[in-house]
Amino acid sequence: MNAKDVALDAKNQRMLELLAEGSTSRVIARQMGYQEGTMRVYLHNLYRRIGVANKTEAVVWYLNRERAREDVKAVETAQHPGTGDLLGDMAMEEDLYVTLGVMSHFVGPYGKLWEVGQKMAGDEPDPKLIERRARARMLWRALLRGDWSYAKRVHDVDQGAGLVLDAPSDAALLVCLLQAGGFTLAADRLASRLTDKRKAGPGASARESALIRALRDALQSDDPHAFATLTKFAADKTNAASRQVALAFLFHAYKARGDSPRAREAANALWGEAEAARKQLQAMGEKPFGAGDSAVKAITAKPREKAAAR
Amino acid sequence: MTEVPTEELLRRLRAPRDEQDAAAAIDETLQVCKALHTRARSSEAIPLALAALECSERRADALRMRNFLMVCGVLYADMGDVVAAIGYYLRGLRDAAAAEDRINMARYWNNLGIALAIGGSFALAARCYERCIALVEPMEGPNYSRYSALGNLSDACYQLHRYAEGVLHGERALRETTPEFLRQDPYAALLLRRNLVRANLSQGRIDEAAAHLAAALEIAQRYPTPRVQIAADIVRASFELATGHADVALTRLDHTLTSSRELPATLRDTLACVVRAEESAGNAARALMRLEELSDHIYHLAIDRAHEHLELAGLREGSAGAPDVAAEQDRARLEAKLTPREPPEAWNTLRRLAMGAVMRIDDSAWHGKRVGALTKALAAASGVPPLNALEMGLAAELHDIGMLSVPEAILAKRGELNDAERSLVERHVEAGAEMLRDDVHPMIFMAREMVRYHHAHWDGAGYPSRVNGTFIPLAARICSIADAYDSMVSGVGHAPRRDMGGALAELKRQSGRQFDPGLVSCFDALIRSETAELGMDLDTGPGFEDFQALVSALREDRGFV
Repeated sequence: MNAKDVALDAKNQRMLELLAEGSTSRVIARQMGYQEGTMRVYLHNLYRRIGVANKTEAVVWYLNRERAREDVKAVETAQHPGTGDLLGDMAMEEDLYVTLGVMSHFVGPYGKLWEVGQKMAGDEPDPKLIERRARARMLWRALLRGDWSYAKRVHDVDQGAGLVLDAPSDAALLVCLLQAGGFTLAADRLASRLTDKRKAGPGASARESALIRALRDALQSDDPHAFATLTKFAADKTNAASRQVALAFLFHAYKARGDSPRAREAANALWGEAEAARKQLQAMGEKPFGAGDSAVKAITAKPREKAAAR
Repeated sequence: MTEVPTEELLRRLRAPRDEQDAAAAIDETLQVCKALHTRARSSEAIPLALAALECSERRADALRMRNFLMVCGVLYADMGDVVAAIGYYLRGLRDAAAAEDRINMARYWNNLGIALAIGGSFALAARCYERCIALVEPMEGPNYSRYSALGNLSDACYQLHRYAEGVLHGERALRETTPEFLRQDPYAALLLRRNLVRANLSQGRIDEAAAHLAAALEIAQRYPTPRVQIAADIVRASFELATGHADVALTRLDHTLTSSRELPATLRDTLACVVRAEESAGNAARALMRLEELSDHIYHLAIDRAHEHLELAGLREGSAGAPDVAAEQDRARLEAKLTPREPPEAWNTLRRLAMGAVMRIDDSAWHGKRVGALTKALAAASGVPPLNALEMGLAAELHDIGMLSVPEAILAKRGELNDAERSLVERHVEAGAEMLRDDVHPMIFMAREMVRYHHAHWDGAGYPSRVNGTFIPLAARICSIADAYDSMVSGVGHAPRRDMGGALAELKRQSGRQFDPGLVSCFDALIRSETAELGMDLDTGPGFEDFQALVSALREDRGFV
């Protein structure tokens, strides 16, 4: 029988993955939560099932199978030229951060628009603000990537206390990321700290709290209408912050549910946001991608001009 | 001329003593309307003209009715209401066609063309003029309709970049002119010269243009009405632009634009000239702002509405969208010349100065900042792109900077102001505009417009007077709502403080009178959603403290513009 046609259950699949990473049976047993002896029995059953004699053959069998599957997938993709939705295709294969590329600077908190706005208002760049901006951008990047474990790591440093104090809206974003990663306990605790903070000065805005609730409802329920509130945020013209965050979460949620058309829609909407911001920057005389005339001149400068400059 | 017996005339038109009195009243009204139109006060003439039209309809007086259909059309076109004007012209045209009155048909076609040109539809306008000329073609000798239509056609040709043709038509019109025509309508004669100057300049014939300019200025000197002055200024500015004196032209046009806002029919031409001047002077950002106004308030308003008229559907073919394409090209060209915005020179000093000015009317000194925050929020909510909204909000902080010119004793006075005192307070608008004069920065430029027009009313009753509707710059319309709301809630200038709900109700009462109704409903929705978010209930009468909380929530930096 052809290797790629053998059906494997999740347990056997995971065992092969770990073997291919070079793990010993002890490590595999610990990872999967079995006794070492039990693990050996399972492994031998697996060897028999796929018709190999030892660990090395099993790994070779597994790698060949994966490659054959990828080839089949590539051929299938080539045969179906897709929907014409290049952005959606890419977002479904990769993540939002890769898909948006450099355009991700034009969306999210403390993006390029914000930077230009600060400059226009004549506000001096304050080191604390710059640091805050860098942290918020990292959170935004994690959101685009769907890298929820980053949120957990940020949280574990000080249980989010610093963020709650300096940047309540970033803390609210962190709560959302924690929820999406399934770190419910940490998320709830941080959310309640934010609410307490609000009693003594600026905390999360009511809109941010509503977004946190909407996301929690959407994640906890299987009801198809659970996304309704989140969708409403994503369509709200008046508030860019909640709109863009909601769009990114909607993308991940739909992708996880296998609802590809809606996930694509969300990815495209986010691109539209970035494109609108880029256009607006251009209309204000900015060079959104940085490189001004000088860079182009440097490339196209003729040898004689270079000599003259010397 | 200021004491027009309008009340008396209106009463006679509505309830004439007898047939003879009615006819006399209608004829008198015609003279009054003409006089008001000449003095750029068409809005005051409209009720009179409507009453006269109704009166002649009642009496089945076909001749006078046709006359007043024309008068109503001219007056509405003058106020920038192209659609209403076209409606009256079409009625008149049908009437004249039924009576086989070729002279009047020609006049109506000519006027239809003028109305369309006011809206920027030059291709349509040119066809109307051509119909007019065709109708009077067989007639011998100097003919007013032909003279006027040829002159207008030369303008349309210029606007459509058919310069040689424009010169040709203009010169033909000039040959047909008589001293009588000049006396009858000096404005038309001046426009003809304007068209010839511009068409010749586009052809590179400076000497011919200079000769026509001299003739134009002579007419302007002999008949100094506001309308004629505006046209004369534009001719001079066009000439100065072509001969490389963009800065001189700009200074001239600054004044022209101010008078043009009171005379909507001339605004399109003035704005187009200002855009060219700003571009030649190297102020791409400012040129772009003017172009924005030109396309928003003239093209969209007038063209879209004109196209709603089914009767014009036949003429529409092949002409729709042409001016928009031109505006798009202009926009792309100007955007390429833009440089990144830096904060204006001495911005913080200006801000502090404005704060000092505001302290004379507001103890908290934060009136400017609050108005700025509200302006930014309202601009964003009404669809202005975020960075432009931010710029508007910052500029709005300076809106009362002219208060520095008002004697403190007057501002400190409690109770009613007398006329002299009120005029001193009203002067803060012009004084502020003077303080911010000649600054190339777009933000200061925008602030200047806000300073000058934030007391202009939607119905034209504010100051500067007679500037109304969308002919008030958008930034100033937004700022005026924010200013009024903050003044009511914060009790600026000794006024009793109102609660937030009450102030909102008052804004709505003044919607369509003092304020732009579209923006008021936008502001209403904005305040409702923002207060709901902060957990306030407008019905329980949140006061000044709650309002301050709302403003600081709006000013908070959450990483978005």
